Amino acid sequence: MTPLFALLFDTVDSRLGLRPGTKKSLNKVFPHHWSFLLGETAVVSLVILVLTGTYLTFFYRASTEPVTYTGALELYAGRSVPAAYESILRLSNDVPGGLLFRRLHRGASHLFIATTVLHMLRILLTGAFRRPRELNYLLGIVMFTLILGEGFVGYSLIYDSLAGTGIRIAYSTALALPIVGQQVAFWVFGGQFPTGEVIPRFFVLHVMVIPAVLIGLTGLHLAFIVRQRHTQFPKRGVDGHAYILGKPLWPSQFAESATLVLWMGGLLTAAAVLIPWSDVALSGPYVPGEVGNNAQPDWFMFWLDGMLRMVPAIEFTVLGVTINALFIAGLVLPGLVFGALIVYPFLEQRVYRLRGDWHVLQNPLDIPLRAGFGLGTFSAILFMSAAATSDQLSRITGFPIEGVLWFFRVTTVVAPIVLALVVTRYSQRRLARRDLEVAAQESGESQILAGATAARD
Amino acid sequence: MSTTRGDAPNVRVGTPARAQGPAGEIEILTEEIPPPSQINDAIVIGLSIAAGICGLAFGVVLTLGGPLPLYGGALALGLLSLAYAVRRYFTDRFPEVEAIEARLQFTDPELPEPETVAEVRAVGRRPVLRWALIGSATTLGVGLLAPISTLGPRAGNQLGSTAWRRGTRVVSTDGEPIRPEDIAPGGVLYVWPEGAVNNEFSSTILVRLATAPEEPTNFDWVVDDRVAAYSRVCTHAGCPVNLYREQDEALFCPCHQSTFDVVRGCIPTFGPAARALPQLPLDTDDEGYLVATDDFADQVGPARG
Amino acid sequence: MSAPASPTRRALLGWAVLAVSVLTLLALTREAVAQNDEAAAAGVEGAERGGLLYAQQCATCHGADGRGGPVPRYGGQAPSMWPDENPNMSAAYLDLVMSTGRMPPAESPYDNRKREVVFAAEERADIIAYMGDTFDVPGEVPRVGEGETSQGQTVWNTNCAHCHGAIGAGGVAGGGAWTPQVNDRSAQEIVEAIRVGPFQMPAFGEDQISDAEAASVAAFMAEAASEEGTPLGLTELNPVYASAFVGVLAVLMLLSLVWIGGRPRWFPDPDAAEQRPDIPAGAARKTPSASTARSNPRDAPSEDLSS
Repeated sequence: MTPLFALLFDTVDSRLGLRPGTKKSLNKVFPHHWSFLLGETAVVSLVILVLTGTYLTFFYRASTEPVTYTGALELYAGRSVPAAYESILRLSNDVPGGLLFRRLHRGASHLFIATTVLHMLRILLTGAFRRPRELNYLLGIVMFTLILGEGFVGYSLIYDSLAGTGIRIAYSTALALPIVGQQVAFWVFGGQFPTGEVIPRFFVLHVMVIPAVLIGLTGLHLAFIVRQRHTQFPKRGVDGHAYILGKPLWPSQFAESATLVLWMGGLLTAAAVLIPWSDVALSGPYVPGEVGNNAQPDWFMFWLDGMLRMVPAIEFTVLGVTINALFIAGLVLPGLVFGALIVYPFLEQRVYRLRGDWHVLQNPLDIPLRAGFGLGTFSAILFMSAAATSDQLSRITGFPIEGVLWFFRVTTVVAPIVLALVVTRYSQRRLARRDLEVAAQESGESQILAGATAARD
Repeated sequence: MSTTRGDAPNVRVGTPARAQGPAGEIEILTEEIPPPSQINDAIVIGLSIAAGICGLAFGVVLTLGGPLPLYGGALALGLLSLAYAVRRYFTDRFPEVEAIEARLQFTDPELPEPETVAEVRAVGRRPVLRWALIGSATTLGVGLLAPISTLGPRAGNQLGSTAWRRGTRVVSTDGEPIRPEDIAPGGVLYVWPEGAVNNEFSSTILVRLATAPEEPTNFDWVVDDRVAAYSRVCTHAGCPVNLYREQDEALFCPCHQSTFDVVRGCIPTFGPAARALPQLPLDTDDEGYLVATDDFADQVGPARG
Repeated sequence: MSAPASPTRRALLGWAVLAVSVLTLLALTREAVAQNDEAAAAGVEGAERGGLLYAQQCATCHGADGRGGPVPRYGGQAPSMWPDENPNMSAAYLDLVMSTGRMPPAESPYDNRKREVVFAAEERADIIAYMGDTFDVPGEVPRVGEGETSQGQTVWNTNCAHCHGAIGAGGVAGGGAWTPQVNDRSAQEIVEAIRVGPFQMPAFGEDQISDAEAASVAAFMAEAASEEGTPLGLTELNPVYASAFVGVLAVLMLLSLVWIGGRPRWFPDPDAAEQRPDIPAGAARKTPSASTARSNPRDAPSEDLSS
């Protein structure tokens, strides 16, 4: 510690008594593996989002009242557009650095969601959800749901043509809820679409409510990890359930984190210069009754849009309650997906009758249920997401859109099942093979032990 | 199988383990001290200077109103250089360490039972007191949800009607009334009720068919045997069904690709829409302008649950 | 009955027929080529040249009499050129299909994604003049005014964006139809297409989109095309292309993590024995499968097996 830093530390420590706590946390051991940094990448993205978001909030106007644009962009000179869209135009074109921050914010949101998905995948595949970490896992699922909502609400705030279409579809999905649908839709959206209430409410959700809950839950999520310590990969000669082998927080893990923060910032800034995330000047504001071709939500909602396209034309009324394709594709099926994610740890616990606290990770290929479930669910989501790009695929390949859709309808149902069965079978065979090897090894060992005992006696 | 041979510490699984030594005590297994390296020093210094210059450049160019690629590029370069400099600094100045720390065990049979955690315990009383409190707190909590009902209007039959009424003129987006002759053959027009332009729920499309319409089109509502009007709110998820294929005489929704056959009353022929687009009862008034004779007869847009 | 000719005679006869045919063909071809060159050399212009071009490039499908006919190889019917049989016929329509390379078709006339412009502007004018004279095709090729980008965007979003995309990149129309990219077309083509409504596209009359508005739409498309974009040349991204870039960013991020976090092996010690909290370390395995054992840690004796 340098003398200056020691002086500063002592000033604070003598008033707060930080030394034991600092000693405890500064020397905490973190296990090695690059995949353990995924969660940290998500947290750093969140920080970048909060910082850039705060800047954007100073300029954004959360209203759909018509306002005249008086900025430098010729295309909109003197035109009357919704205030939200006008503020975006102003920020992008008339505020120096505005467009960079907008792109940084959007790029960071993409990275946030992508790394959260990868992180969740890592947790699922390696079994970091096992006891005692089920609670943390559930917390993670809740956070994941929140960030999906945050992303949707965030890009809807721009109120361009695509955003307005997305809000309309969300409203229609709310309407599709049985019995309470219309009332819930009116409560959430402030009445019959479109109202002037949607954007202000989305703004409050996006800037205040969801970030606050998310930051709180992230704190809780991290606190759990601090308390329970990190899991780790098996290593020969080390009892991973009783010990953590790795690098201490200071200096090694801190060095990694510091590098990560700066490197991520640099990557995102480079992306913001090269890739026009969420530039919207050409597409125009949302006008009721208008829509642009090639209408999709952002990539993390592709799986929902894909389901909306694929679920066939179903609509029937039973006892005065209407069930339609939108309800099934927009609410029931996603509910099943999230339900499956939530239930899986407990399912695995039940099926394999697991006991005790697990702190060591497993290879998913050694656990047939997990391999099948993981590959099956993930591939299903991938196919559903690909189905959302059906119109672009149709244009690129030359196949009629109708054919492309049927291709996806069939593959999304068949392929995940086939893949799941194949990998489960592979996993079972792999285990059986290893059992034979270890049994052979053990019989060899017991012979040696028997020999040693005999020699001793 | 799992072994504890070799140089690993002596601990068994299954026994309630205590951390070896006070918490935060770690045992350093290996320590590798980096050799002094001039190259490393040069890199750190060089990159730090570069990062500083880039940072300053970012500030200056941004303030002076320079182009985005310039100040954005400067910021990106600065951050990336600093990242690498930080990494090199740490690898140079600190040893690479492999450490080991004991975990805490939470399922310890020697821990006190949950009921005995608090020092002061309740003196036995009738449980009905407790339940009374819990019951009323729950009811109060549920009551506190009531303000949610103020977030929007009461659900009534708002979705059962649009702004079209008997005698409402059909107007374009500019507000101009329309004569049947104004539509080119095979053409479409995006129209609204007079006085309700841009009312999303009432958005309508006017089509001049090239072929004669067939069942289940309502022929009373077709003008000049060819001009028909349909709601253009998609009955699947509400996107505007604006795309018209002239030769196929089909309306196509760009969101989820529902296709409607205009000759046959806009019944859905492909895609997830299950209901036909409602037809607007159409007629001409004394001056020859198109008017509606009633509101849509069927549900407009997506169904409510 | 005369005796059959001997093999030698038959062969000689065959060769003679072949020689005569080839020579005749050559002569005829030379005639045709000579005619063309003659025409060009003689400076045949206007409707006459148009007639020649029509005969060469259009008559095979649309008929020498312009009444249409079956399309060789691809099937279907090529439409008539006479306005009373084909209400689509107009000078603007002809100019549009030829200037965009839609006609004559590069491959199948039904797949409009691949186009090659065959006729130069003067040739087009000549063909139109010829067809105007011979088949009574009405109308004039429209002239394009200045236009205003701001108005163009509004008109575009109301009438065009749902088919051709927000910035005119084209899209899917279902039923095997694609809406072509518009922001790389000339103002003339755009204005003609608006008036004509070729193929699956509906026509927009002057009451719907005035001449000034049509010119504005063309101006807006030119503006959309001229956007500089980022140093990579990208302007606005639709979510599908954006997702590709998200993928690239995610991959870059993963590579960065491998660099920063080290230890690129997925399971650092694949030979490391599996560890379970409920089976004491070093205990002999009692169950056939390591991952699916079924004992309870509270019941298992804690065996002291380490040295």
